[in-house]
Amino acid sequence: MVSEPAWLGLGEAAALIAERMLSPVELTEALLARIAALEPQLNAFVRIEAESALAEARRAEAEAARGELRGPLHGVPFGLKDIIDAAGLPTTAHSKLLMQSPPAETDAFVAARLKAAGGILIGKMATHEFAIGGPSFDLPWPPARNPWNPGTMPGGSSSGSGAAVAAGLMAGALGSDTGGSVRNPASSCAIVGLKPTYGRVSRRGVLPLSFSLDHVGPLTRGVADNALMLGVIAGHDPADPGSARVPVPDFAVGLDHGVRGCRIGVIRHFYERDIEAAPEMAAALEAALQVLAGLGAEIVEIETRPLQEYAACNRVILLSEAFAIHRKWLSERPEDYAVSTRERLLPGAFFSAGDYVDALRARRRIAAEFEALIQPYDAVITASAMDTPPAIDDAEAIARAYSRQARAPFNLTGSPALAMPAGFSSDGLPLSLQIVGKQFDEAGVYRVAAAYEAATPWKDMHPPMAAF
Amino acid sequence: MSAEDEARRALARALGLERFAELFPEAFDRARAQAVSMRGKVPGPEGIAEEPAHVYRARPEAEW
Repeated sequence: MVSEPAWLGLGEAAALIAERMLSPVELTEALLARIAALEPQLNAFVRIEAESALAEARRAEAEAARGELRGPLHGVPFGLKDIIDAAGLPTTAHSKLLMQSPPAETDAFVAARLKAAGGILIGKMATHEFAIGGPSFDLPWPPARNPWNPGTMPGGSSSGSGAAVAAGLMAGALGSDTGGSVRNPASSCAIVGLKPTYGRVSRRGVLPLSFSLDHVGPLTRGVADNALMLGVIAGHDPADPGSARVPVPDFAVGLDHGVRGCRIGVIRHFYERDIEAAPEMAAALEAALQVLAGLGAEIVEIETRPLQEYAACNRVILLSEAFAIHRKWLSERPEDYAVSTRERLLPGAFFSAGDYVDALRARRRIAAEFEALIQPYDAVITASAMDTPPAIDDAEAIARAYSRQARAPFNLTGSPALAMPAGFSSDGLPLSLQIVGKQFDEAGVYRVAAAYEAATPWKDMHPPMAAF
Repeated sequence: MSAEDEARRALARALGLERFAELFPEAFDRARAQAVSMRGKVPGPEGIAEEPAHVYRARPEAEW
């Protein structure tokens, strides 16, 4: 038995289980003990699956004893944002509208992949309602809180996934990202979150928010674990019309290659001119660029359209598609949504078909322009958040934070984009950066992220309330 | 009923959102104003025949 199993990464735990130096039962029990201690303050779960997780852990232990390993996550617990189906469990979307929904009959594609790889589902994670509301106090479950300061929000909408991974309640969880909802909690909780290329990961069995902008991606404490988890869930699925039939490479192939000789573009105008980032965030981004330059990368400033054009285009498409999904409930049961959810969804009612088509025309042009712009570069760096996480009960500050971010452009372009920690503010809250790659070059993004991670101390820092 | 209320009710009826507008008239008005603002920031088409992204695909030349 290793001394502190809760802080092991996915890959570390799986390797120790394979070598029979770690018991899946002891690992699961250790995580459940931490969940019991911290969940009352964090509210990261909609549902904790203690009994079934322990049963699966016992089975995994017996299989490991026979030398039968299912895959690269054998015996390791994970969480699913509660818009992702798990067979036998309801999918609530953290909403009163779905709290009585029947259990899902089958696993979502990604849930099935994680289980087939030996992963153990330990719970369904809190989300902002339907992956679009803010942290809300008028829903059947309380909002997840940030382990770095429970008075602040953990980002969203994959809020429970981010909070739980950061607090050492699990080493990996899945979220979804339509305008930044994997990268926002990663930025807010000082962990690693990747939105893969559109088409890389199937969304079958995931409650949609916006068909053409939704992505599913992993949240982990380290880059290697993120690459491991993406490798498990990536792949073509003919049942998802947006799923690409492209080869799935070894995403970890470049993790130890460093960045010497790499050309890295930086989009400074997103966080200096289009929106002015908080001084500590801007300083952290510049420091990160210095680290990469010190490792041998060439940093080149590049310029694209104003952030506001990307954002408006993303919002018109997202809200038009979301309104089509929610029209019936907004019409018949608007009072059953959280205030923040119904107010965020409703602008979609006022776009015309022409507005939607024009946004799709702009999207095609903008995406092609951006992909051409970044071809000479191994990766591009810009801000993810412009500010540290706001207070969880300050609706005005939260609305401001949502409008001050540079994540939505890459839902529009479909590019892979990763958020990771870049230090801490003077009041101990996470600072972050975003690394963007060419389409289907997640491995290139991970290469740069791994080099930065190895050169900085952020990965090994844990929230004070969870540092046990 | 004011002219403003009447206009809201007519619009809500056209959208099938009478209940929403009745329960939350201020939110209804705010959402409409937000939509107008967002729409105005989307870059217009470059030409009459410019195609939209249909089912968006990041690598159109790939086999799907």
